Amino acid sequence: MVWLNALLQGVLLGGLYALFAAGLSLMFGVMRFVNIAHGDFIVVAAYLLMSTVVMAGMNPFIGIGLVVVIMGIAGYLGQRFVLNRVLGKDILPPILVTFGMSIILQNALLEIFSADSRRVQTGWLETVSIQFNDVVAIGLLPLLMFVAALAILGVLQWIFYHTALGRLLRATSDDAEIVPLMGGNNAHIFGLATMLASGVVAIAGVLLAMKTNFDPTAGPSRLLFAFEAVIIGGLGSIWGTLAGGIVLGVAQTLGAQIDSGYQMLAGHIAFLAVLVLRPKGLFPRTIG
Amino acid sequence: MGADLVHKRGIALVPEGRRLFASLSVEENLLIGASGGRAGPWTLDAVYGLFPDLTTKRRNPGTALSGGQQQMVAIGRSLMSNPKLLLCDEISLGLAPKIIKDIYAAVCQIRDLGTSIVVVEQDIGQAMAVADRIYCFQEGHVSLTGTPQSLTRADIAKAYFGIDQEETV
Amino acid sequence: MTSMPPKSLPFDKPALRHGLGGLLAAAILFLAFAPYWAGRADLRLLMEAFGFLALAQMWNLLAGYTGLVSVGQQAFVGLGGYVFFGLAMFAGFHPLVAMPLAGVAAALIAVPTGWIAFRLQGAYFAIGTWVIAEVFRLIAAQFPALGGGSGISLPVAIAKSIGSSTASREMSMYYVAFTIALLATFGVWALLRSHWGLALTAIRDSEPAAESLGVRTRRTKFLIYVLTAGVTGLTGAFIFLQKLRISPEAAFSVNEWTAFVIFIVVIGGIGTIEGPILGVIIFFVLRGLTADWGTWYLMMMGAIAIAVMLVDKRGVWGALQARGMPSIFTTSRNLESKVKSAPVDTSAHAEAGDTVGR
Repeated sequence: MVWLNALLQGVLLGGLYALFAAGLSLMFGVMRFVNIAHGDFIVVAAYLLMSTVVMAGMNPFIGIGLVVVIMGIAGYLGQRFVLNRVLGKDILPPILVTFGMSIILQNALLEIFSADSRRVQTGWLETVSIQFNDVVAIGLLPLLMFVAALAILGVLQWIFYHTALGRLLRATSDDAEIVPLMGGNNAHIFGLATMLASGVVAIAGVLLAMKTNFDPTAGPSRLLFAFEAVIIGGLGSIWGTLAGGIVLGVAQTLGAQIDSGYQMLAGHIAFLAVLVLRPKGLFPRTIG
Repeated sequence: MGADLVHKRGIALVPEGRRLFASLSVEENLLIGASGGRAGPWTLDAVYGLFPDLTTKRRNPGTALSGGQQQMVAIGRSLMSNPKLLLCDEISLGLAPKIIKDIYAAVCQIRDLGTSIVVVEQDIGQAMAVADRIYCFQEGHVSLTGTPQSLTRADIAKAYFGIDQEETV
Repeated sequence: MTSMPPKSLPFDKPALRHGLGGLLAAAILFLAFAPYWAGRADLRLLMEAFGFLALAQMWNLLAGYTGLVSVGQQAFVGLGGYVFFGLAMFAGFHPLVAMPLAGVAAALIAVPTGWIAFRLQGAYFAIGTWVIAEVFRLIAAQFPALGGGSGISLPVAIAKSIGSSTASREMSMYYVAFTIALLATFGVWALLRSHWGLALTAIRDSEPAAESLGVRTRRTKFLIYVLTAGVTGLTGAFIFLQKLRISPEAAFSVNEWTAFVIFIVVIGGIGTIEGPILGVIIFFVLRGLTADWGTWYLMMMGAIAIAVMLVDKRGVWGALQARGMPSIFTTSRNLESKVKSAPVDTSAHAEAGDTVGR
C-alpha cells in the first residue's frame, strides 16, 4: 500500500516535471539550443511569486498573473537582445551565455534574498487531502497542481496545433532557414518562442514555490529534471513529455520510499536506463 | 541580401529540393507562405484552383505527398506571399516527364496572371518551350542570351560545352 | 559581430614568435624555482592556478578540438579526488602512487560513462554529462567510510608521508602541481603535433569533412574523452590532496570545476593551447583584484563570459591571432597557411552570429 501511495504521489509530481520540461523542449525544438539557466529561471519565478504575493501582499491571482507577464516580457527581450546574437551552428556560445546567466542569477538571488530556504504557504490548501485508506491519500494541493500542469500543457498543445503562432513555431522548428523567405522574422519568432516558454516557466516556478522549499541554488537540479523528462519522453510531443515527467516523478518517489537518500539517485538512474535501453526515449517522434 | 529583405522586395523563392515543413499539413505549409501578410490575388482558394490535386490532400502532411505534389505545395507556398517576382530553383529535379509538363503548365498560368518568373532549369527543352528569354550562365557570367526563337539547341550546347545550363522564362 | 579585418602587428612575425617562446621558457624556468623565492601564500596560489590550468587544457582539448562540450567534467575531478582518498586511506598507497592510480581509475570509469553520454548529441550531451556527474556525487554521499554527505579529512599521517615538515611537504606538492600543469599543456601540444593532431584539427574545422577523409571521428572523440577524464582525475586527486579534505559538494561542484574552467578557456581563447594559459592568468588576476566582492565577483565572471561571446567568440588569444599574433605552440608544419586560415574562420563565426537562423 505504501508503494501504491508513492506511485500516486510520483504521478502527481510528474505533472510539475512535465511543466519544467515543456519550456526547455519548446526552446530546443524551435531554436535548437539548451538553456542552462532554465532551472534558475524557474527559481526566479518562485522568488517573484514570493515577492509579490507574500512580501507585497498582493492578491494571489494578480500576483501569479504578474509573474507570468514579467517572465514573458523578460524572456522575449532576453532572446532578442542577447540569445539571438549567439545562436548558430556552434553550440558552445549559447551554452556559455546561459551558463553565465545561471551563475549571475544564482548569486543575484543570494544577494537579494539570502541563502535561506523559502516556501510560499498556501494555508488550508495544504492540509486538505482525499483519504482512500489509512496509507493512500492524495493531497488537494498536489492534485490541483497536477490538474494545473495538465491544463497548461493542454493550452500549449492547442497553441501549437491551432494558432498561427503555433504553425510558425512548428515551421521554424522544421526549417528555420525557409521561414524568413516566406516573410517570417526569425528574430521575432525566436523571441515569441522564448516568451511562451518563459510563461510556462513562470507557472512552473509558481507551482514549485507552493510545493516545496527553494533557495537560490535550487535551479540546476530543476534543469536536470526538465532535461531528463524531455529525454525519457522522447522529444516527440507534449504528451510524451508528460509521460517523461511522470516516469521521472514515479522513479523519484519510489526511490525515496526505499531511502530518502535515494530520491534523486533513482530519478537519474531511471533516466540513464532509458538512455541505454531506448536512446530515442519512450515516445519518439513519428512523422507521417 | 537577407532572406527577410528578399521577401520585402516582393521576391519569393521556390527552393531547390522543395524544403516543405515536414510536420505541417499541406494547408499549413501554404498558410506559412502568407506570413508576410501582403495582399494580392493569391489566396488558399486561388492556389487550390491552380493545383486542384492538392484540394483533397489539404490535411495530409506535406512530406507524405508524391514528388510532383510536393513541388506544387512549394510553388503554392511561395505564391501565397503574393510576390512580384517568383524565383524557381530546379523545379523539375527528380520528377517524371509528365509531372514536369503539369508543373510547367502551372508556371505559364502564374505568368499569365501577372507574376514575373525566373526559372533556373537544366532541362533545355522544357525551358525553350516556355521561356520568353533565355540566359545561359557559365561560371557566373552570362555566356549567351536571347529569345528561344533566336537560339537553337546547338547554340546553347556550344555556349556550354557540357557545363550546367540555366535558362529563364 | 565586430570582426575587425586582421591588422598586421608592427613586428616581424618569426621574431615575435621566438620572443614569445623565449618569454614562455623564461616564465617556466622562473616558476620552476618558485619554492625558493615565493612565500607560502603565493605558492598555494600557484598550485591552485596549475590545477586550473591542467583542467582548462583538458576541457579545451575536449571542447575546442573534438567539439564535445561537457559540463560534467566535475565528475572526474570528484572521482579522482575520492579514489585518491580511498587508495591512500584504505589501501595504504603512498600519495604519489595513489594520484596517478586515481587518474587511471577516472579514465576507466570514463569508458562506461562515455558509452552512455555519447548517445546524446550537442547540447544534450552537455547536460547528460552533468547528470552523470550528479549520479557520482549522490553515490559518493552513500559511502560512510568516506565521510558520506558531510565529507572527510585526509589523516595527518598520510599528508606527512609526502614530507615531514610543512615546508618540504609544500615544496613536493608544488612540484607535483607544476608537473601536472606542464604535462597537461605539453601533452596536448605533443598530441596535436602527432598524427592524432591532424585528425583532431580536421574534426575541429569540419566534422563531416573529417569523416569523409577517413578520420574515425567517433572513435577519436571517445578516446579523447577518456584521456581527458584521466588527466582531469589526476588533477582532481592533486586538488584534494592540497585541500586535505573532500566532500561530495566540493568534489563534484559544477561551478568550481566546470563553469570556471569553461570561463577560463573561453576568455583566454578556445581551440588554442595559449588560450587556457592566458585565461588562467586573467582569471586569477581578476579574482585577486575582486576577492572581497563576494557574490558580485561571481556575477562579474558570469558577465565577462557572456561579454566574450557577444563581442568576440574567439577569446583574447583568438582575437590577437586574428590580428597577426603568431602561435607559440605551433601545431602545423606550415605556419603561414595556418595564419592565413584564421580570417576565414572569423567570417564564418561572424556570419553565424549575425543571422539567427541555423
